[in-house]
Amino acid sequence: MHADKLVDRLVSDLTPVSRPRMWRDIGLLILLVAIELGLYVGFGRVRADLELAMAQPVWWWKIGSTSALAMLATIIAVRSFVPAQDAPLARKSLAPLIILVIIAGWGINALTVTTVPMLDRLHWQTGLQCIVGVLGRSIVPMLAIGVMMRRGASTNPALSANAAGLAAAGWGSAIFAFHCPHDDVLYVSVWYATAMLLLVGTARLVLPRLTRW
Amino acid sequence: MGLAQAGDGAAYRRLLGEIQPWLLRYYARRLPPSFVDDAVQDALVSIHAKRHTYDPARPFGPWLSAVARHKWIDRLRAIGRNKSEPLNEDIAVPDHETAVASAFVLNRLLAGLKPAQAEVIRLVKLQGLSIEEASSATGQSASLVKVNIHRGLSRLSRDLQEGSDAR
Repeated sequence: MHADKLVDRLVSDLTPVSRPRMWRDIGLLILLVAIELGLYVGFGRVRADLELAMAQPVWWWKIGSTSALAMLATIIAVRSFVPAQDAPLARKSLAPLIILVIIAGWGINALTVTTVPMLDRLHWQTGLQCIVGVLGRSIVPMLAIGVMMRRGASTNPALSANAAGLAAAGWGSAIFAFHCPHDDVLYVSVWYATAMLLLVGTARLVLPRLTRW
Repeated sequence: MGLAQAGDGAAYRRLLGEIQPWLLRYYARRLPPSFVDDAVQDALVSIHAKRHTYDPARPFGPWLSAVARHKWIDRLRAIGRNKSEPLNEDIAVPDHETAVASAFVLNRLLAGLKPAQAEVIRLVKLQGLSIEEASSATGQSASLVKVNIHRGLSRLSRDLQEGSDAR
């Protein structure tokens, strides 16, 4: 087809479109996560000793680190869905945030007095259930962010997919933290991180294929 | 683009008209000539499909460059996936040399005959017509066709004989 004919067709196909609203999209995602969390709380799927746990620094470390990672990854992902709108500050902040989370976790762990051997602290069986729990709670944010990515125009699908996977995993972990009865830093570090890596890998494999230009 | 996002067709046409030569130059510098037109059209379709991702509060150039660059990388990947193999110039085909040489020699021999003899030999002996068909095609009587064929062939064999004796 000749380019002039194509231009005619594109002009005849023109319809008004809404402009990108990054903070609106991020707000919608957070609202969705809040609704999911509300439903879990509403159906009583939270740990029985939640009030007691909230008095412990490890619980705030769990919630704080997963939410912060999720928020930062969401900003990176949503910005990357729009051409020429990179988020260099957010990207550069990701590694320091992860280091900060590890240092904070190590500090909290150092304050905890325990005689239990390291391998026993991992609780393999519940650890695997924990992975399934995080994966299950990440489905909604993953779907939402996947729709945003498909609707957007990512010029770096690998970065977008990694960030989308980390965002979904972060939100899923934050929701699961309300249910998970384990407050051991080692346990959280190993199993939550494993679930997050699985989600990032899945997103990296799947999301770029769903992107349509 | 801001106006186009609101549905202004005239502004959109002007925009696409201005983008087109820029895209043409962009891809002409980066792709083999045979891919340039396709890449331009592909980029135009993408700009149309993803026009909602442009933020009018920001400059249009970087957005356009990012889209064009993405489509260029896509095109390079496609070229890499579908590599074209140059055709072998030494393709094996049957040798027509003997047939061509024979036709050439026959034409020269027939040219040495009388036109009426050459004509009926072509029709009857080469094209496979019957005496009657050759008669009606040339206007010669059937017996004259037979005589001309006979005399023509005799002359041809004589010429060939003389040619081989001379060598």
